[in-house]
Amino acid sequence: MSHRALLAGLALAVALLFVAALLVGPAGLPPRTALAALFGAEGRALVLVMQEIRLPRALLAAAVGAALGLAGAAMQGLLRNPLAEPGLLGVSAAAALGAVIALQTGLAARFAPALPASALAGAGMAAALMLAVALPRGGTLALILAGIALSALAGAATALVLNLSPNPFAAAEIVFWTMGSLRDRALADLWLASPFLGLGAALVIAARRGLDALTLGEEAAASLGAGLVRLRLLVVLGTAALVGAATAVAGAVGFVGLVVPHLVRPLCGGLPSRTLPAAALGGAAMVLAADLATRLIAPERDLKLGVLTAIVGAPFFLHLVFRTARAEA
Amino acid sequence: MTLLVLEALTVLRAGRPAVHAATLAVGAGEVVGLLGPNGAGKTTLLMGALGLLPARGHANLRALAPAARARAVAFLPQGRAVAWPVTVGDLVALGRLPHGGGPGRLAPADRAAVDRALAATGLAPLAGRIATRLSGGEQARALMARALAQEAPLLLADEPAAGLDPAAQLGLLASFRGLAAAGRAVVVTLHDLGLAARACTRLVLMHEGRIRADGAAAAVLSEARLAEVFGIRAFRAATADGPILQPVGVV
Repeated sequence: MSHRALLAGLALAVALLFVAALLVGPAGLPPRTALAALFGAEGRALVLVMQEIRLPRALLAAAVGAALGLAGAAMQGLLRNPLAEPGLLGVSAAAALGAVIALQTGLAARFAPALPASALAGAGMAAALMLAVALPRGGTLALILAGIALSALAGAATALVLNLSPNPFAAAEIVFWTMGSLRDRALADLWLASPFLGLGAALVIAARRGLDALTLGEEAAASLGAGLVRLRLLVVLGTAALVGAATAVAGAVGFVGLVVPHLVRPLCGGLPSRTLPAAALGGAAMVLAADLATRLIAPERDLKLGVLTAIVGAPFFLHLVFRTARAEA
Repeated sequence: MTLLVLEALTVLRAGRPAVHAATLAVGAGEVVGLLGPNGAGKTTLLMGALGLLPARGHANLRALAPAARARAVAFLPQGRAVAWPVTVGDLVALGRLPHGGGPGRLAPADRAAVDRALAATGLAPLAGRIATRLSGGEQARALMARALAQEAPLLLADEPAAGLDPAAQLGLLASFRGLAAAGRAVVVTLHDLGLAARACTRLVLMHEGRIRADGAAAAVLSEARLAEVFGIRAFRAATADGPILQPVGVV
């Protein structure tokens, strides 16, 4: 299959899932009415449902999925490891901590955008710390170890907030938020996240040729003119922006960044530069599908998006590990 | 034309000098064999010359910006890494990155360079195969082809003959001679002293981080030096195919 055909196929899948996401919901609107309402041609209540509830949710699902797929492909390219995932940098854990602090202090209740803004601040601090590690001559191993330490620290701080939480309702709210969801998100969330998503995508895409060169190892890549420091800077900053923004609006949605690049890579001839756009489209399709599934499987139980992606993704990850172990044996 | 100039280059590994004050010049038309026992500093010298390790002293390639350097010199590292399951054709096309080409976007000149490199390594029939699924020797040839496709005036190859079958080894050295005849230059590290003596136009011997000898094979690989640097004695003979030098014992 040519790369162009693959991208066209994935784009079509994203478009179909996007329309499906607009048409499925508890309001049970007939498709024609729903689409007419989307463009403001029906009664006020319907317009509200379509424009304020379903449209932001579908747009965010596509944007978050694309961000996670892109970030995963970039991270795997930089570390030259198919088991790498965007959360490795500790940015998603730090973003979650930022969000949890906003929930705990009541900031989020008083001013809704405070939650994603606080998550973005957490992600930004994590990114700054990772850059301090990655920038001088810090190797890949230092990057991974610092990411593990940062994830553990942010996780412990989140646990501490839960630990000290004054009432069980606040604790439950925090726990549910960390499970990842796109329910009840507003267009304002998308506006807040989109500059970071755009910046992150631009940085990661600028690294694509360097990531291709890195296929040959760090020394060969450097001799081909791919500056390793610049490459690390682009990918660490880009991934941090993508994952930070995605976590800020959707919570922790795991395994998309791990699984999707791996699924599309064989269809892309292995090259990072071709895997990046395919992983973005594949991630968008996967999160749109997963979010649809949460609504179709248990419409009244508010099944969390991150729970579903992990339930599908974790067995796949195990399968990957087994296959890698067999290949090395 | 001189393509590589090192003047009193001291290369550091982990802050300590691993190559001491190396002075070396390589001109167009030369195939220079860089010899020495394990740990002599051959790889460190090449990486220092390329600017991939911190160093003191002068090296002409270190003064260039990375993009310009990638057009002035191709480097084949010792580690044979292919991280992703890419086709041999795409792998070789990576050598065109310094020229603005690359996998999936080859201008006619890039395409011609890739085809030449595939032909020189005998890999044209394998161009569509996945590189990571090839045998070790075939993978080594594919990586060599990548460096050849870069078509830089100077090629630095770190143990390119390791793991190759005899025909591929001879073919490799013959292709180096071909490059030299076309006005380019090659610096190649080798452990097969006989092959080096026959195929290189000049040998440079390293020992304990220093260049110990530099010149024609007969002078560099003297009996005393083989004993001192490598700790071996060798059988020698002059034949119609060139000098034969076969290590036969440890001294």
